[in-house]
Amino acid sequence: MLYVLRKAFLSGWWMAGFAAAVALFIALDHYRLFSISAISAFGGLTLLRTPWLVILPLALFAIAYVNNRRFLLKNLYVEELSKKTGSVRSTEYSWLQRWGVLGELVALDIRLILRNKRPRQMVVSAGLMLFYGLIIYRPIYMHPFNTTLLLFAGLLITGMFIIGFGRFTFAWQSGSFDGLLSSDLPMSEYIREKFMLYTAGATIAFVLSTFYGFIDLRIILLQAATYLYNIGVNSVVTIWSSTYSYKRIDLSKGNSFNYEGSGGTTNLIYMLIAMAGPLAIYLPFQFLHQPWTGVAAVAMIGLAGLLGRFWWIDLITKGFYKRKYLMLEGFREK
Amino acid sequence: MISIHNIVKAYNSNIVVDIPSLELKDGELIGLVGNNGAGKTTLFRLLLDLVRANKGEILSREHKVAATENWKKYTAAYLDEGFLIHYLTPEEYFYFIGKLHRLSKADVDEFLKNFETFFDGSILKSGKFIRDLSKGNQFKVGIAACLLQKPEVLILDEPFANLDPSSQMRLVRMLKELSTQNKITVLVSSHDLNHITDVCHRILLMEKGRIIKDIDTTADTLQELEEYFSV
Repeated sequence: MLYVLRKAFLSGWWMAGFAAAVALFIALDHYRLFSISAISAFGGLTLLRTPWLVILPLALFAIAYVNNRRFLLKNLYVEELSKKTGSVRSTEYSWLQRWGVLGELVALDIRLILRNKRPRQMVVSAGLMLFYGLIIYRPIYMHPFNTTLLLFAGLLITGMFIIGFGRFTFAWQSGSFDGLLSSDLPMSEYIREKFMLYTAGATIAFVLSTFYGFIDLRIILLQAATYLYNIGVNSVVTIWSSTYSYKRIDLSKGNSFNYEGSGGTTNLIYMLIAMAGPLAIYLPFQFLHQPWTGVAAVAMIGLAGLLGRFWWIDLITKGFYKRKYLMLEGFREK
Repeated sequence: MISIHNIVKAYNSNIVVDIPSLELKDGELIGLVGNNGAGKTTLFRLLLDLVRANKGEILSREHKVAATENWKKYTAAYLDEGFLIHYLTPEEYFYFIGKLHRLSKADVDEFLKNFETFFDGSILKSGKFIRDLSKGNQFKVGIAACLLQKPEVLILDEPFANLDPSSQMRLVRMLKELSTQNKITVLVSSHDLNHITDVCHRILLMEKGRIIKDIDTTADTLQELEEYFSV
């Protein structure tokens, strides 16, 4: 048991296996196919009747202790725990080649996500967010149609990638920022690539989420509106607020509970605009009993943001140059 | 080529760099020496517009470094591992830098052939990400990526410190060849007085942010510097 738990602690697959085994026992118990609780009850009762049998669990405990101690001594050296010896291979994204430098930057971000734990977790959580619909698109919220709540859900489902990953747009590159800024890479191009990436991420989420249309076609309309808002407004707000994020993110620290780079007032303001913004647009229409006009307004504002993209890129690039020394200094600090 | 006018950089009233005037000419091989904290790296960062100067300006071919980007086309630098992209393999990194300078994969492969001995078989096809390379090998990747850009200005911060002796010799030879064949301006800092007097035509000696000596290298230079640094 302890052995399995320890393995689970070190590797995700053991963790999944352990969870599956526990689930299996619970299920078997529930359907009365095989009762582990009966065994445990029997064991406990026998122990009460014949007290000397207590040496059995005690012996098990002693074995577990000795085994555990040996394991800990053997894994005392940190580098042995963390170093993987497997060799890595270069990858190539030939479909991105014809986009020139822009494609090369996208490839860089794809590798960032695939090869580093924290950015990967952000993207995985964006993927999991797609299943949020299973919880929220249920009859209690659909009849009557709770537009406010469902608008909020659509915002999260199509925007989780932008909100989660995008918050650290520049901080992800903390470790290479000196190099990126002194290389021959126009910053406007760099920022344009971020817009492209976030639009692509939100589009994938939107396309996949249209399956919820099978539940109710109105969901697609809501999701289309929030999708437009996410790529038109939230992408801008996200990248813009990332130019205020000066905290280094150390990619080599792959901890799940690592909140480096988060916190601060800009983050708060950012979350307000990203999440409360569309609601602020929508709610006045709700009071006028025109919910769908409100949804359309959210979509229109998103579309307006999208049409002004070149202007936004210009604006963010200017802000970037203003704050680049602060970012550079912050990202250098270990 | 590069001219510095009244540049001052201070952190909380602690002056790190203070240079009234300095000219770096085309094709010069310049060595920067000085003890730790003399301001060498900060000067490099100022030249690359990676820190904001409190006063003064730096011009690269008559254009302000802090206000333009054109100098990036002909300037290459490697100061520390912050100039690499750690989650790439060395090959991917070279292709990326190559792409920024409009070099195809084949161009890059061709170029890297010249580095076979310098890399010593431990960089290309090593099956490692840059983050898993040793510091010396990271430095080799950085130097090669700089040269890949065919720069006209090259800035290296203590390149000899992390290299093994043979690689140091190879680097010395490469730098000499570069300046004679390509007329590039090279700025290197080092604590290794032998190498730096061997390679460079001109030595700048920094102390507490100021350049206190600016000498053309002669046979006596090494001795002169040794006298300064002896305690």
